[in-house]
Amino acid sequence: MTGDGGRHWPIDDDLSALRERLLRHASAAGMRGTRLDDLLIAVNEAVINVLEHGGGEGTLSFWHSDAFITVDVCDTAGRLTPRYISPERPEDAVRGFGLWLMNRLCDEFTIDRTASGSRVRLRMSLGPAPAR
Amino acid sequence: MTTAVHVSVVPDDTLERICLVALNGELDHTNAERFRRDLQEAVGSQPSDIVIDLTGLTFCDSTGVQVFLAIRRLVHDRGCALSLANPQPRLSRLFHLTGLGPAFGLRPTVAEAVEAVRSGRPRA
Repeated sequence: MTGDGGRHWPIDDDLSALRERLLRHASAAGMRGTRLDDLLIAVNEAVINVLEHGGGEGTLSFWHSDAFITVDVCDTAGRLTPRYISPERPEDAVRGFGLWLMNRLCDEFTIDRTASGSRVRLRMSLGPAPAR
Repeated sequence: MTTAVHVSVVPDDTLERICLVALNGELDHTNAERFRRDLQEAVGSQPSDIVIDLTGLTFCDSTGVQVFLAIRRLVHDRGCALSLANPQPRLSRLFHLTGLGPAFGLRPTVAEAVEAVRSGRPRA
Protein backbone atom coordinates (compact mmCIF):
# COMPACT_ATOMS: atom_id res chain seq x y z
CA MET A 1 0.00 0.00 0.00
CA THR A 2 1.35 3.36 -0.99
CA GLY A 3 0.24 6.75 0.18
CA ASP A 4 1.47 9.90 1.74
CA GLY A 5 1.76 10.67 5.40
CA GLY A 6 -1.04 13.20 5.25
CA ARG A 7 -1.13 16.94 5.15
CA HIS A 8 -2.68 19.41 7.55
CA TRP A 9 -3.72 22.93 6.73
CA PRO A 10 -5.22 25.54 9.01
CA ILE A 11 -8.64 26.72 7.84
CA ASP A 12 -8.94 30.42 7.10
CA ASP A 13 -11.08 32.54 4.82
CA ASP A 14 -8.83 32.14 1.79
CA LEU A 15 -11.08 29.47 0.32
CA SER A 16 -9.67 29.92 -3.16
CA ALA A 17 -6.17 28.91 -2.04
CA LEU A 18 -7.58 26.01 -0.06
CA ARG A 19 -9.52 24.72 -3.09
CA GLU A 20 -6.46 25.07 -5.30
CA ARG A 21 -4.39 23.06 -2.81
CA LEU A 22 -7.03 20.37 -2.55
CA LEU A 23 -7.34 20.08 -6.34
CA ARG A 24 -3.59 19.75 -6.69
CA HIS A 25 -3.26 16.99 -4.09
CA ALA A 26 -6.38 15.09 -5.14
CA SER A 27 -5.28 15.20 -8.80
CA ALA A 28 -1.85 13.92 -7.82
CA ALA A 29 -3.57 11.05 -5.97
CA GLY A 30 -5.35 10.11 -9.20
CA MET A 31 -8.78 11.70 -8.85
CA ARG A 32 -10.28 13.17 -12.02
CA GLY A 33 -13.34 14.71 -13.61
CA THR A 34 -16.73 14.80 -11.93
CA ARG A 35 -15.55 12.96 -8.84
CA LEU A 36 -12.79 15.48 -8.33
CA ASP A 37 -15.40 18.25 -8.64
CA ASP A 38 -17.63 16.39 -6.17
CA LEU A 39 -14.85 16.18 -3.60
CA LEU A 40 -14.02 19.85 -4.16
CA ILE A 41 -17.62 20.99 -3.63
CA ALA A 42 -18.02 18.76 -0.55
CA VAL A 43 -14.79 19.90 1.13
CA ASN A 44 -15.65 23.54 0.43
CA GLU A 45 -19.04 23.03 2.13
CA ALA A 46 -17.37 21.42 5.16
CA VAL A 47 -14.94 24.32 5.44
CA ILE A 48 -17.59 27.03 5.18
CA ASN A 49 -19.47 25.23 7.97
CA VAL A 50 -16.38 25.77 10.14
CA LEU A 51 -16.28 29.45 9.20
CA GLU A 52 -20.01 29.93 9.73
CA HIS A 53 -20.96 27.69 12.64
CA GLY A 54 -17.79 25.95 13.85
CA GLY A 55 -16.04 28.75 15.70
CA GLY A 56 -14.19 30.01 12.61
CA GLU A 57 -11.05 28.00 13.27
CA GLY A 58 -10.08 24.51 12.37
CA THR A 59 -7.87 22.18 10.42
CA LEU A 60 -8.18 20.39 7.12
CA SER A 61 -6.30 17.10 6.86
CA PHE A 62 -5.75 15.27 3.60
CA TRP A 63 -4.29 11.86 3.01
CA HIS A 64 -4.69 8.97 0.63
CA SER A 65 -3.96 5.31 0.13
CA ASP A 66 -4.26 3.24 -3.04
CA ALA A 67 -7.96 2.89 -2.34
CA PHE A 68 -9.21 6.17 -0.86
CA ILE A 69 -8.74 9.86 -0.53
CA THR A 70 -9.74 10.99 2.95
CA VAL A 71 -10.31 14.57 4.02
CA ASP A 72 -10.97 15.48 7.66
CA VAL A 73 -12.36 18.91 8.42
CA CYS A 74 -12.15 19.65 12.14
CA ASP A 75 -13.56 22.63 14.01
CA THR A 76 -13.03 23.85 17.56
CA ALA A 77 -16.65 24.57 18.46
CA GLY A 78 -17.86 20.97 18.52
CA ARG A 79 -21.49 21.88 17.87
CA LEU A 80 -21.86 19.79 14.73
CA THR A 81 -23.51 16.41 15.27
CA PRO A 82 -24.86 13.75 12.89
CA ARG A 83 -28.45 14.72 13.71
CA TYR A 84 -28.07 17.76 11.41
CA ILE A 85 -27.71 15.52 8.36
CA SER A 86 -30.90 15.63 6.31
CA PRO A 87 -31.75 12.58 4.22
CA GLU A 88 -33.96 14.75 2.00
CA ARG A 89 -32.87 17.85 0.15
CA PRO A 90 -33.66 20.86 2.36
CA GLU A 91 -36.31 23.01 0.65
CA ASP A 92 -34.91 26.43 1.40
CA ALA A 93 -31.26 25.79 0.45
CA VAL A 94 -30.15 27.33 3.72
CA ARG A 95 -30.01 25.18 6.85
CA GLY A 96 -28.48 21.76 6.44
CA PHE A 97 -27.95 22.24 2.74
CA GLY A 98 -24.17 21.89 2.86
CA LEU A 99 -24.40 18.72 4.96
CA TRP A 100 -26.95 17.26 2.57
CA LEU A 101 -24.61 18.03 -0.36
CA MET A 102 -21.61 16.39 1.36
CA ASN A 103 -23.70 13.30 1.99
CA ARG A 104 -24.72 13.16 -1.68
CA LEU A 105 -21.28 13.89 -3.11
CA CYS A 106 -18.95 11.63 -1.14
CA ASP A 107 -18.66 7.85 -0.90
CA GLU A 108 -18.39 8.12 2.87
CA PHE A 109 -19.48 10.99 5.06
CA THR A 110 -19.32 10.92 8.84
CA ILE A 111 -19.53 13.43 11.67
CA ASP A 112 -17.81 12.67 14.96
CA ARG A 113 -17.34 14.56 18.17
CA THR A 114 -13.75 14.58 19.36
CA ALA A 115 -12.08 15.93 22.48
CA SER A 116 -11.20 19.12 20.63
CA GLY A 117 -14.32 19.72 18.55
CA SER A 118 -16.29 18.22 15.67
CA ARG A 119 -14.81 16.26 12.81
CA VAL A 120 -16.31 15.83 9.36
CA ARG A 121 -14.74 12.98 7.43
CA LEU A 122 -15.16 12.88 3.67
CA ARG A 123 -13.89 9.88 1.78
CA MET A 124 -13.76 9.12 -1.94
CA SER A 125 -12.79 5.82 -3.50
CA LEU A 126 -9.97 6.04 -6.02
CA GLY A 127 -11.29 3.00 -7.86
CA PRO A 128 -14.60 2.74 -9.70
CA ALA A 129 -17.35 4.72 -7.99
CA PRO A 130 -19.23 2.55 -5.46
CA ALA A 131 -22.92 2.06 -6.17
CA ARG A 132 -24.91 4.57 -4.17
CA MET B 1 -5.66 37.11 -1.02
CA THR B 2 -9.40 37.13 -1.34
CA THR B 3 -11.61 35.56 -3.93
CA ALA B 4 -13.63 37.84 -6.16
CA VAL B 5 -16.54 37.67 -8.54
CA HIS B 6 -16.66 40.35 -11.21
CA VAL B 7 -20.13 41.39 -12.27
CA SER B 8 -20.45 43.27 -15.55
CA VAL B 9 -23.44 44.39 -17.55
CA VAL B 10 -22.95 43.50 -21.20
CA PRO B 11 -24.27 46.25 -23.50
CA ASP B 12 -26.23 44.75 -26.38
CA ASP B 13 -28.71 46.83 -28.38
CA THR B 14 -30.34 43.74 -29.85
CA LEU B 15 -31.55 42.68 -26.40
CA GLU B 16 -34.74 44.66 -25.97
CA ARG B 17 -35.77 44.86 -22.33
CA ILE B 18 -33.29 42.16 -21.36
CA CYS B 19 -30.38 42.89 -19.05
CA LEU B 20 -27.40 40.64 -19.80
CA VAL B 21 -24.94 40.24 -16.94
CA ALA B 22 -21.64 38.36 -17.18
CA LEU B 23 -19.88 36.84 -14.15
CA ASN B 24 -16.19 36.07 -13.81
CA GLY B 25 -14.34 34.52 -10.91
CA GLU B 26 -15.13 32.24 -7.98
CA LEU B 27 -18.26 32.66 -5.89
CA ASP B 28 -18.14 31.39 -2.32
CA HIS B 29 -18.95 32.09 1.32
CA THR B 30 -16.26 34.78 1.58
CA ASN B 31 -17.63 37.00 -1.20
CA ALA B 32 -21.32 36.06 -1.51
CA GLU B 33 -22.61 39.16 0.31
CA ARG B 34 -20.52 41.49 -1.82
CA PHE B 35 -21.65 39.59 -4.91
CA ARG B 36 -25.29 39.95 -3.91
CA ARG B 37 -24.93 43.74 -3.70
CA ASP B 38 -23.01 43.95 -7.00
CA LEU B 39 -25.54 41.77 -8.78
CA GLN B 40 -28.51 43.75 -7.41
CA GLU B 41 -26.84 46.93 -8.59
CA ALA B 42 -26.23 45.44 -12.05
CA VAL B 43 -29.81 44.24 -12.28
CA GLY B 44 -31.01 47.76 -11.40
CA SER B 45 -34.24 49.03 -9.92
CA GLN B 46 -36.36 48.86 -13.08
CA PRO B 47 -38.26 45.70 -13.97
CA SER B 48 -36.29 43.84 -16.62
CA ASP B 49 -35.77 40.28 -17.71
CA ILE B 50 -32.32 39.08 -16.68
CA VAL B 51 -29.89 36.73 -18.40
CA ILE B 52 -26.77 35.82 -16.43
CA ASP B 53 -23.82 34.49 -18.41
CA LEU B 54 -21.99 32.00 -16.16
CA THR B 55 -19.21 31.19 -18.66
CA GLY B 56 -16.51 32.83 -16.55
CA LEU B 57 -17.72 31.60 -13.16
CA THR B 58 -15.34 28.79 -12.20
CA PHE B 59 -16.77 27.95 -8.78
CA CYS B 60 -19.99 28.37 -6.82
CA ASP B 61 -20.90 26.96 -3.40
CA SER B 62 -24.15 26.73 -1.44
CA THR B 63 -23.90 30.35 -0.29
CA GLY B 64 -23.65 31.37 -3.95
CA VAL B 65 -26.73 29.31 -4.77
CA GLN B 66 -28.58 31.21 -2.05
CA VAL B 67 -27.68 34.52 -3.72
CA PHE B 68 -29.00 33.25 -7.06
CA LEU B 69 -32.21 32.21 -5.29
CA ALA B 70 -32.54 35.70 -3.76
CA ILE B 71 -32.05 37.35 -7.17
CA ARG B 72 -34.57 34.96 -8.67
CA ARG B 73 -37.15 36.04 -6.06
CA LEU B 74 -36.39 39.71 -6.73
CA VAL B 75 -36.78 39.30 -10.51
CA HIS B 76 -39.95 37.20 -10.22
CA ASP B 77 -41.49 39.66 -7.73
CA ARG B 78 -41.14 42.30 -10.45
CA GLY B 79 -43.01 40.05 -12.84
CA CYS B 80 -39.88 39.37 -14.90
CA ALA B 81 -37.95 36.28 -15.95
CA LEU B 82 -34.46 35.03 -15.13
CA SER B 83 -32.29 32.61 -17.04
CA LEU B 84 -28.76 31.45 -16.27
CA ALA B 85 -26.57 30.47 -19.22
CA ASN B 86 -23.59 28.24 -19.96
CA PRO B 87 -22.50 26.92 -16.55
CA GLN B 88 -19.14 25.16 -16.37
CA PRO B 89 -19.35 21.42 -15.54
CA ARG B 90 -18.69 22.04 -11.85
CA LEU B 91 -21.62 24.45 -11.65
CA SER B 92 -23.85 22.20 -13.75
CA ARG B 93 -23.16 19.47 -11.24
CA LEU B 94 -24.25 21.70 -8.36
CA PHE B 95 -27.44 22.81 -10.13
CA HIS B 96 -28.22 19.23 -11.09
CA LEU B 97 -27.72 17.92 -7.54
CA THR B 98 -29.73 20.69 -5.98
CA GLY B 99 -32.49 20.24 -8.54
CA LEU B 100 -32.48 23.98 -9.13
CA GLY B 101 -31.67 23.97 -12.88
CA PRO B 102 -35.30 24.42 -13.97
CA ALA B 103 -35.93 27.07 -11.29
CA PHE B 104 -33.06 29.11 -12.72
CA GLY B 105 -34.12 28.58 -16.33
CA LEU B 106 -30.70 27.05 -16.93
CA ARG B 107 -29.64 27.01 -20.62
CA PRO B 108 -26.47 25.87 -22.40
CA THR B 109 -25.92 29.17 -24.25
CA VAL B 110 -26.66 32.86 -23.80
CA ALA B 111 -28.70 32.84 -27.04
CA GLU B 112 -30.94 30.09 -25.69
CA ALA B 113 -31.27 31.87 -22.34
CA VAL B 114 -32.32 35.06 -24.17
CA GLU B 115 -34.87 33.03 -26.12
CA ALA B 116 -36.13 31.46 -22.87
CA VAL B 117 -36.83 34.78 -21.14
CA ARG B 118 -38.36 36.20 -24.36
CA SER B 119 -40.75 33.29 -24.58
CA GLY B 120 -41.51 33.83 -20.89
CA ARG B 121 -41.74 30.11 -20.35
CA PRO B 122 -38.59 28.89 -18.63
CA ARG B 123 -38.22 25.17 -19.32
CA ALA B 124 -36.04 22.51 -17.75
